[in-house]
Amino acid sequence: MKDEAYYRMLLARSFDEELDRPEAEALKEELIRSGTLRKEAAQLRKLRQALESLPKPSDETFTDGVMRRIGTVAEHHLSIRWLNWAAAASAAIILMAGLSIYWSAGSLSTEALVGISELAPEDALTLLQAY
Amino acid sequence: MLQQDDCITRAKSGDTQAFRLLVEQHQGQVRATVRSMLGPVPEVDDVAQEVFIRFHHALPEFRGDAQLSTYLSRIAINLSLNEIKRRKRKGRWLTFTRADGPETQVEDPSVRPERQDLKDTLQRALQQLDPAFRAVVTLRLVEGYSVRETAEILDLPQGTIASRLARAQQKLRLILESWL
Repeated sequence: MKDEAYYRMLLARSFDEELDRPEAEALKEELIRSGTLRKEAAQLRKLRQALESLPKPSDETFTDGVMRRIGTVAEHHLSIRWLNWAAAASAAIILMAGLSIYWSAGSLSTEALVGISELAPEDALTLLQAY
Repeated sequence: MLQQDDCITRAKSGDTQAFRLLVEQHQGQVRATVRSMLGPVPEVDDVAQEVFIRFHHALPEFRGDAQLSTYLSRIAINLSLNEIKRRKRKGRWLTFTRADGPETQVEDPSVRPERQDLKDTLQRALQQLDPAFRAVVTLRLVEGYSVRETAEILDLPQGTIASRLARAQQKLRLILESWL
């Protein structure tokens, strides 16, 4: 003898899958015998109908919101792309300037970067006298 | 009236009107899925909008092997599950920092039925299911996908879907007994 829980589970499964023959027969007989199970079957049917009929409302403002957000995301991507280009261009300029200094001064020391690597003390004196 | 495939092709080539049409056609389904997963909360539209933004982003790679509705349902379920996880983390933090716990307590749908209508009550009852079971109920019973389609969307065996459905229905029946 199967218990109530077994028939309940058979009943719930019967809505979504095909029971094998002995199970289907057992459920059919129990439904004839048990008023409680018949009541539960009716409740499950009502529950499923109620779930199927949950509203799927459309809203014009929702679509507008999606299109607006897509526009914002596209703008954001565009500005990020521009930023990346600007960063790459700046890096290239700095690299070229560094190479050019190294090429002409032979090192990347502070004096070379400032442009005084080839300045001798007497040059400084000449410059000061000019003022 | 444009066919859906034409709409997708045109949207892929940058036609915003075609994409808008796709959103209009599927927004009801996507919002219902997210609402069923999250309940009647203000975040529903944000998450549903995010579904279409993800779709827009993936549009160049969308090959149309799956039905668009199935594809959108999969994104909607995944984003909803992420949102539920985020809420749980936030809830844990609020419980930790405040004595009165999180604000988003779900009202017990089995009490005071005279104050609620069946649809709201159903939405609240769904929130009492484990999210994995809720996803199955949402796809199979709210959206009307077959057990096979539900299994494909959730990437689970059909037997698992059938047993989760049976258990979820029993739980919902018990929660909503006074309504049914």
